[in-house]
Amino acid sequence: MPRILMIATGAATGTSFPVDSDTMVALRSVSGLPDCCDNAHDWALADLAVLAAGQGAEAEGFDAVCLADFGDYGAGALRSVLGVPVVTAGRSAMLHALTLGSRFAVLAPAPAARRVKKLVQEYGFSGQCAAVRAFDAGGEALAAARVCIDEDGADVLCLASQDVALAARLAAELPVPVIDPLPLALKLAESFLGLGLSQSRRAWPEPQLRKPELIAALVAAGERA
Amino acid sequence: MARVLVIVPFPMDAGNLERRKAQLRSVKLGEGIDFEFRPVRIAPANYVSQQDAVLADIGILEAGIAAEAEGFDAVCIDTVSDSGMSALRSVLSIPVIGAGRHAMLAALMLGERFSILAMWDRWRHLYTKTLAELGFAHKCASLRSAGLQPNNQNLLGGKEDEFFPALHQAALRCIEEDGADVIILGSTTMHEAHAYLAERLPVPIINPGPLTYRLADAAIKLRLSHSRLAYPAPHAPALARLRAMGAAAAAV
Repeated sequence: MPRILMIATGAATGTSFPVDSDTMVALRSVSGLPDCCDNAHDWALADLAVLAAGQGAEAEGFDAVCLADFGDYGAGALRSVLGVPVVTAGRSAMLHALTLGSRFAVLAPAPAARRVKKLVQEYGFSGQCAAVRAFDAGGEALAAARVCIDEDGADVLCLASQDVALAARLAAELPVPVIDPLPLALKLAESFLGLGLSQSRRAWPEPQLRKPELIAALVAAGERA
Repeated sequence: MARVLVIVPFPMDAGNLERRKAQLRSVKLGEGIDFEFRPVRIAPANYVSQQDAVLADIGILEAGIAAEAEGFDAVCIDTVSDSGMSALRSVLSIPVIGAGRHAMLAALMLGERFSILAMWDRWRHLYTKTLAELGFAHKCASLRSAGLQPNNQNLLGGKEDEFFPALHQAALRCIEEDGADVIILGSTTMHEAHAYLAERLPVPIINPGPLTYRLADAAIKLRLSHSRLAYPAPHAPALARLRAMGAAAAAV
């Protein structure tokens, strides 16, 4: 029975995922997160918080970890300390978008857009990303999505939020596929487990000396401050 | 029960078709999903030239053009060349999974740079085409081959002692000399070597055929198919013309 740990940064929504009946999904909210995440200071703290939340996943008996936040906070760090697959919402959604079309756009809540632009650059997806567009509220998301398609030339959309209802509404209204990263991450985790695949040690080497106690203590101390 | 059509890119007898179907056993499949393997009627002798690419596109399009009307929920194309994938996507609304494109994108979920391990160098054009379409040539550490003559009917049968170590040596060079984080088997016909290589290599190695079976399951359950804007529909699908071609090829 595959056990998947889903690490969510916001309030984790939705409990009904399209996974196999023998797949168990445990949702875990991250503590110690900054409250905005549109700047490098917040990103550093988010990396640490997600690392602390997931670093024990393998010892806890999980077969895979999914990071639900499109910002992929802590992704590289977790991949360096875990042997089980770590599937990250942002990277996976953008790559999966390219299985469905040739150019994708990312729709992000306004505070998250800067982080998404950074990831697009770092991952080397600038040539495939038609636009990263921010929105403030549900109604604006639809308008922004139409600009991505009609003006930016996107043929697939990725939604950089954990709002399942918004993803469904956009998918119903728009003429292109809309990727809801959270269920996709779970299906990819199941796929990698079914195929016996995990991330490459060459890309994410192990630390020479692991510091799990320090990492946990840092987050706990920050929470008490 | 969801039904997936797996298009096998060469005409073949039942025995050799079983060697293709054996790919199903190397993966834990999703629930409630069934796979039907269908060889094409139109095909080149092998995939080493642009002539072959055109014939492969037509053969795979002919084999799958009615898949949706036949009640299939998805199509997998059992070749890393992705022959016929774009043409089928233009006429079908159900997911069409091409082993090559999906293997490269999955590799980038597992590492930063991948190498493609082929049987022989004459398959290079298959990979450079998809890399160019994706715009990801810079993500490819190398295209390497073991310099072995492939057989698309009985695959690696009877040649394991010679072929498996040669593939292993070439894969190690992809990792150590070229800097690959992930290896992709360059053909679904190489699947019989996957377990041998996976046990011996220090990096993930993607078995492209079985990968498509899981991604078909994900596509069906997420209700996620290709973009119509990326793959516009034809004004007049040439079903009757393609059927006539299929019949003609069988008679040649």
